[in-house]
Amino acid sequence: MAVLLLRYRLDHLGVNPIEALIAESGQWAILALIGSLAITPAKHALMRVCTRVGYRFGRRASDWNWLIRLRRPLGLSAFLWAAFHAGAYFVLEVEGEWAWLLEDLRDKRHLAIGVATFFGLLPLALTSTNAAKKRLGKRWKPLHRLVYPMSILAVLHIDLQAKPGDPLAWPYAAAVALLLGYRIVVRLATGRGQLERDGELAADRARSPCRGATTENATAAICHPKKPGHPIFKTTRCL
Amino acid sequence: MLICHPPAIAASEITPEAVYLARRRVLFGAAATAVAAWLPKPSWAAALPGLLPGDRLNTWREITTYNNFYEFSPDKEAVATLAGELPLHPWTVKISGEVEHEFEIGVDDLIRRFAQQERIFRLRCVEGWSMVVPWLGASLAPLLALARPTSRARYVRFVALLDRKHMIGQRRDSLPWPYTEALTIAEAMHPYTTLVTGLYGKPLPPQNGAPVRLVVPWKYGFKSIKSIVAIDLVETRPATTWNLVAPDDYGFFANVDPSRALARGSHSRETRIGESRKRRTEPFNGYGDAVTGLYQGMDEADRL
Repeated sequence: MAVLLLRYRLDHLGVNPIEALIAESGQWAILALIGSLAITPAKHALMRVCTRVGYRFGRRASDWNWLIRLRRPLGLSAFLWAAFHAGAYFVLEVEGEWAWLLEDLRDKRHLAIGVATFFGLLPLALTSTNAAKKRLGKRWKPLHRLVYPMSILAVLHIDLQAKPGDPLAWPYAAAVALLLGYRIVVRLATGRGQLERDGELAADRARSPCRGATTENATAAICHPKKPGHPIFKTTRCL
Repeated sequence: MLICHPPAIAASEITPEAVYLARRRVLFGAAATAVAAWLPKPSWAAALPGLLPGDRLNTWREITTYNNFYEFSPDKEAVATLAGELPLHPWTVKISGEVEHEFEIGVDDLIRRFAQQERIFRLRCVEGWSMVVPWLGASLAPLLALARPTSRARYVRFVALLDRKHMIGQRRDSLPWPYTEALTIAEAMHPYTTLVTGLYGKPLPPQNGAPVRLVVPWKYGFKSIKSIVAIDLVETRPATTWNLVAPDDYGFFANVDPSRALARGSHSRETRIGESRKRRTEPFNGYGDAVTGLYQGMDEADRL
């Protein structure tokens, strides 16, 4: 952010620096959001790869705790970028004039959606501390699932602000669809609750091979007949 | 590349740009005023608005590196690079339709036939930014007069180049190609409506719509179609590109109007490229006095 601000101050943001500053901060926000959504699927994929190649490290879920630890900073940075993005819009685009802001809110659907996304992410950022997590207990997780609808809203916001024929939002839409779609598929394939146990998928599958397995090749990899019961599949509870 | 520009252009090309930019100061010097008082003013000088108060010319870099030209890319800052390969020679413009005399004219001919003048106009994009550009061009009206429009000619339709080989943005169906725009015949005959072939005294760069483009300064920028190959006079209102894609945001008239909401860019304010504070958008982009006559008696709802 400091770099982006400095580039703005030094006039290194091209011909329309206001537009560039707002667009670029928004891009970082969605990228960080996608990054945070990608952590769990990435862990699953890495575990599968390690199992497949018979590599000792990485077959246990707890081997990837460091990866899971990246999720909170990624999610927080998504929010901070979104805040920067909203702030840049408010200061440079509407120049703090409430009349202009209201006019934009009235006329531009993408702006209303952007504001909604920001205020949807706000409680997640506020409850991201360990203390808040403890205090909220069981309610913390459902609350933080708000990130799924918010990521859809964010993509919608990008697509609506782009002009017709501009494919700007497509890669983001594809990434969000893939990551949310993965969760839906896993949920359907493993039954309710599996994903909530935070990706003990490979281990669980290995212990009770091919239970309720659909023929997806993803599950096929972890339902390898040679593997069940092998000690390396011992489950470790992760963060 | 254009090789037959009138001498005035060549002269400015060899003039250092700093001196060229300072020409107004020179002109307003004591000697110049004395001469100006003595010489008869050319007729167009009175008719054209020139630089409006409070405006400053945008730089060559600003004008040539920030271009909306979907034929190449929706990315405004990528267009300059992508447009570089567009072959500009030979290039002809065909005038046809409801006219007594259909003809094709080469761009070099066009430049020779119609004295190219510097015309400073604001350009206001629907996206909410604007520039002040010293175009080089001539009114469209005399060219149309040459074709002798019939009484059935009520609209003028402009068609841009279709060239999937060089205009790589056309390989995607981001817009229905070729890009098409249109004006009423009255708008087309207005002296501000300009066929532009140059910029800052130099030939128009490809990213700005070389070799010949339209400039209609009181309308949103998308009306000012680039790289024109055909001008058609027609009886009924033709379909136009952006109007087909998103009619609510891209009306047929698309006169700059701060009171009319747009779904994307702002309408009541604009970023003047090169300035950090927003400006209030003016009705008809500041050219209201000269053009409101075109719309007198027209229903508010019809003026979209």
